[in-house]
Amino acid sequence: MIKKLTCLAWVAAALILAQPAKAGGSGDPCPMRDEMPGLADDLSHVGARLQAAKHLDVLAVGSATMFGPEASLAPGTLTAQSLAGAFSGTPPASSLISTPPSERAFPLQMAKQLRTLVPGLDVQVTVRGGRGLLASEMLELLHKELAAKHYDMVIWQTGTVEAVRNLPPGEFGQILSDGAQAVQAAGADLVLVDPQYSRFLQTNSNLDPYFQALQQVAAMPGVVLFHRFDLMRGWANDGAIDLERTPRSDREKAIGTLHACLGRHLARLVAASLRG
Amino acid sequence: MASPETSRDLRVDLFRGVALWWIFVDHIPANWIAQFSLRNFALCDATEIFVLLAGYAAGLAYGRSMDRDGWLFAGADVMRRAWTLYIAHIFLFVVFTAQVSYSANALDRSEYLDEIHLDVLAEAPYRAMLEALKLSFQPAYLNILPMYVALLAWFALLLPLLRWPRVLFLLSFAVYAAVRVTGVNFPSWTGGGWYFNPIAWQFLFVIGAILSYAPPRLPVRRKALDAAAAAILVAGLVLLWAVWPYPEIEAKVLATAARTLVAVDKEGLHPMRLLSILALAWLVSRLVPKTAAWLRSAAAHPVIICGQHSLPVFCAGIFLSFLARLAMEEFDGWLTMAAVNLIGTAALIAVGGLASWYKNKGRRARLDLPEVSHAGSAGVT
Repeated sequence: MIKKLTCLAWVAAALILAQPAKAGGSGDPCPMRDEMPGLADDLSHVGARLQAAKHLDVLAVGSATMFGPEASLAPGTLTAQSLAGAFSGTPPASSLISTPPSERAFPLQMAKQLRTLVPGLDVQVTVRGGRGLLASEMLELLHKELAAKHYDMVIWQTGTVEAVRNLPPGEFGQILSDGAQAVQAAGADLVLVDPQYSRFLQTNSNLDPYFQALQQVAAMPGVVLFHRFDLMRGWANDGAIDLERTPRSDREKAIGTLHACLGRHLARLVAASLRG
Repeated sequence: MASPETSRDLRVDLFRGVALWWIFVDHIPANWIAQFSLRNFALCDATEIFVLLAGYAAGLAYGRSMDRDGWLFAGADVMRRAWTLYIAHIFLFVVFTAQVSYSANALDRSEYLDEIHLDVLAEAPYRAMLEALKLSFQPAYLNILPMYVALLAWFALLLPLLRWPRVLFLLSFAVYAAVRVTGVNFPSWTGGGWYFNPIAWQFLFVIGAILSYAPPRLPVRRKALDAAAAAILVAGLVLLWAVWPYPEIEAKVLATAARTLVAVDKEGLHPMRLLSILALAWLVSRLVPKTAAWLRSAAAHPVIICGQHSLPVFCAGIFLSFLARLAMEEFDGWLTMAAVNLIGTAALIAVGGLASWYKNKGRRARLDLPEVSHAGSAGVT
């Protein structure tokens, strides 16, 4: 009887221990798939740069995720309360992040991958943005940066805050389109990055109109859309990278993996412009 | 309530109960059972059911009260009800904010605050309090009750027009049409307008009130209406299942038609959503007669109890759905999913049961005595 119970206990223990293997695994958490969405034929400026294999200047504008796992995890807002402007009428402008991005942030991971894919290429990435920024605020940043310096490529990650606040999708599309024109006028290509996958947002926010706005602008020449949401949903469904289901102790590692994966896929999208 | 319990339309309570349950399960991210809720089969969802039936119940209760005691009396009761809802909303706001911010801190997940739109509360707490009281700061989950408050305040004004249902209908429609054309909405502090624009949604509420207070004569060609309603629902189903998931089909449809159909917005109660709920209501009223025996069955009873006490059940549902989300993130798996749905449903029924018990508080119901509670709260609890 006791033997049987011990045996059962061992089996149970083995089953419990076997659990995390599903999520951890030793394989590639984010294998490249052939049907990866995104057309890179449009990135003519980038293609020319990569062909010459010399120098690629990238401007990345977006929210905290652009700065890497550390910035995404920062408790930030809860402690950053301020009296200043408490009754000034509009919600406080979200603070810009002034610290340089982490090496692990996906725009920098993309640069690292690009250097491997195109030997001899020098990639410089400038990251601008901050937590909870609206597309309209990012557009201002974009204008400022483009006026100050020439870039070959702009990565623009936006849409989540608009969706959460239920802001008019038409205006969002107009802002994107203005930004795309500014980037085009500055002689650069634009890679739009859509919101992060989150079950919560998918359930409780009406994301579709914002995705449509992103897609419409991505149809303009010189603009492509990096489908981060779809990619992350795939990884979450595979159990490979699932931030919403990752225990606290493993979360920083998981976000690191996520950024590396996003960087790799983004690099492949950009490198495809070589063939385009 | 002067009318005996038997004349109460239990269908209203039942479907309000169902809508409340759908609101609970739909609010849980990636909930398996939520794929069977109405929003996956029709262009309308629990919100439309809720507003139509709220209007229906209001027309019944306050319309009768107005006939008996006049506009001032009934209108005052409507306003008292709106005030109760407002207080409940503010209480829920405090509870929910505490729940989310505590969880975000304890579990080290600051994204909870961003996703639920509570990030601005941390950045400008004093201002946010004021905006919450003005109902112009509505975090996610907390946008239905503000609409309901506004609908009741509007209804208190319109009450006497119930006697001229055509005038009321046309006025309400004109306001709705104006919103559809101009897009005017109550402002939101963080940009844009209210998540549910009351100036548009009032039309559905008023339709509900007219249907109960001054039910139009049933048309002669009911079969034709059945067919039209079915066609509307099928069209919605086709859009949901066969058009929207495939953008390449959308591209082939005429650009203008596609734009109209793609933008079936919830904020301003898009005409397709309005038609869907009306078609659905018509067919359900045809299929489920008021006298259906199963409405009095033991199985229907818990749902009806929830529908009769929609305010506490709704508030509990919001709290529970966030709790369910936490549980599902901590203990991933179908077992957790089954558990949160079962426990959550049981808890909602318990809240409904408790609210129902409070009516008599253990005292044997004495039918010979006049009802103690005021007429206003009768239909719209």
